[in-house]
Amino acid sequence: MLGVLVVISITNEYSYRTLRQNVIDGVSRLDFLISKITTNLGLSIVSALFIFVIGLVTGLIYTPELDWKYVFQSMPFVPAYGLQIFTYLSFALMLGVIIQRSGLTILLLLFASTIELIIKLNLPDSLEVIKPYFPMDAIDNLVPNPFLKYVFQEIQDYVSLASVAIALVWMFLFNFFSYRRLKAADI
Amino acid sequence: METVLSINNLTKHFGRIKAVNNMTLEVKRGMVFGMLGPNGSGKTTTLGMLMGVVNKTSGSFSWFGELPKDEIRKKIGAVLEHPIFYPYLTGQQNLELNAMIKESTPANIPKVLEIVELSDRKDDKYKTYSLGMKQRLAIASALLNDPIVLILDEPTNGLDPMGIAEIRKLIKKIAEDGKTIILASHLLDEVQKVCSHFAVLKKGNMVYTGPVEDVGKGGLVIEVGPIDNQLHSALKNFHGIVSMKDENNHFLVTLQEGIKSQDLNKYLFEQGIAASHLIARKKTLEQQFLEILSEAPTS
Ligand SMILES: Nc1ncnc2c1ncn2[C@@H]1O[C@H](COP(=O)(O)OP(=O)(O)OP(=O)(O)O)[C@@H](O)[C@H]1O
Ligand SMILES: [Mg+2]
Repeated sequence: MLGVLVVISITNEYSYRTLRQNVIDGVSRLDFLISKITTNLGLSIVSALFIFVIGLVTGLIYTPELDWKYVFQSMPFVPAYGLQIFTYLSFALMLGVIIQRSGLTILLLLFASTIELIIKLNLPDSLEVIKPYFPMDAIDNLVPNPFLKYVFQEIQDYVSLASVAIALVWMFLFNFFSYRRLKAADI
Repeated sequence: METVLSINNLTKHFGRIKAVNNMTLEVKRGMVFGMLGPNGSGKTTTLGMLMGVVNKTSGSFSWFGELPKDEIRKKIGAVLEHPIFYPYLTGQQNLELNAMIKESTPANIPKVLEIVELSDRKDDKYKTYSLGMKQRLAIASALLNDPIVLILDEPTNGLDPMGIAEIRKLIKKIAEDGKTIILASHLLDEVQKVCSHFAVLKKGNMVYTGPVEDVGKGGLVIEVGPIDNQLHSALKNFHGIVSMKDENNHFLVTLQEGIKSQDLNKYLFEQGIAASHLIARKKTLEQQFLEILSEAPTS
């Protein structure tokens, strides 16, 4: 959802030529990108806080006795969730900067996981090991889907440092590609 | 005179299209510089490179003697092609927004609105403006930070003759304030009336540059007719002739500098020829422009 919002906000800058006008008015391309990335960061932090508050409230309602130990036990999930959102939004921003058209970008964004899955399925067995490093997987793995808990009766209840590292690398790459592309583009 | 803009072998290729090819040019302070050229000759692309929205392929340019930095564009006001504003905001609000982007003080807004004569419509929404008013708001926005240079790309595009005259008056007024102006236009008449210098582009090549006042200098151009053999041979023997060609029912004769039409008339009379048609043409920028374009090598 937020991803679509980010895509629209960036592609509109192209279609209404406001980016072009801003650059003409003396804004640097880097400053422009930084303002977009900062917005993404803000959105991610707000989402994470929101989840934290919801978690806290539902926790308070459903736990028989309040014990701060349990509250803080799940704390690492909050920043991990924030990073998850931020990496995803960075990906959305990059798609928007590269494609510049809202419709196509949104489609690609929505089908990114499917496309990734198709690529993975067609991967030769010898490359099996790289599967967890794919971008969509990397994002999903940060905070594994809690529904699995009910299916398998168990869940990874910690944030793995490896998945954080992989997501950070992708997050950095996405924003770097956005920068490269924006710098080279005729707008 | 101080150099405002200096362009050195600037080149831009779009794939195999050479939009701008090895352009070298200087614009000095106080010039009103006209850029002429047919559609697709590279005017907008050149201005786009100067304003940092189009990446150059090779070559260089400098503003005020400095290599281009993002900050420098804040000293330049530019309207490239269509004005871009938020339709649901008023003229005033749009300018406030732009003042923020350009880091200039909103205190300038009433002044620039006054210059473009939009003060009484400033509180109307942008989308209710006529085309001419939109163009004028764009010029107002470009003037916000009191720039040293103003760049206008076809500011009278799509306007009616009244609107064109208004914008022209406005450009002259701004030029009189001592601003340097770079103006891309198709309207030769307009360039002749407001510009001090001009350049002609053809398929990305700059084929001419010089002061506007030089237009029409050089020998007179005279129509002589009706065409017949006697007139033809008499003209060929006239000492003061530079060139001659057929045009409709008369010869188009270019005379050497200093030779007047009376001299030609007297000569023809002495030869026993009474030319029924003998008109001196004033050379306009338009003729010169077409001449330059037809003489320029097509490469
Ligand atoms: N973004 C682009 N991608 C590909 N080609 C382009 C692009 N922009 C311009 N061109 C090409 O570059 C050439 C110069 O175009 P430009 O817009 O600079 O011409 P112009 O002199 O401004 O023309 P006009 O008088 O029609 O405004 C044209 O052949 C055009 O097709
Ligand atoms: Mg143009």
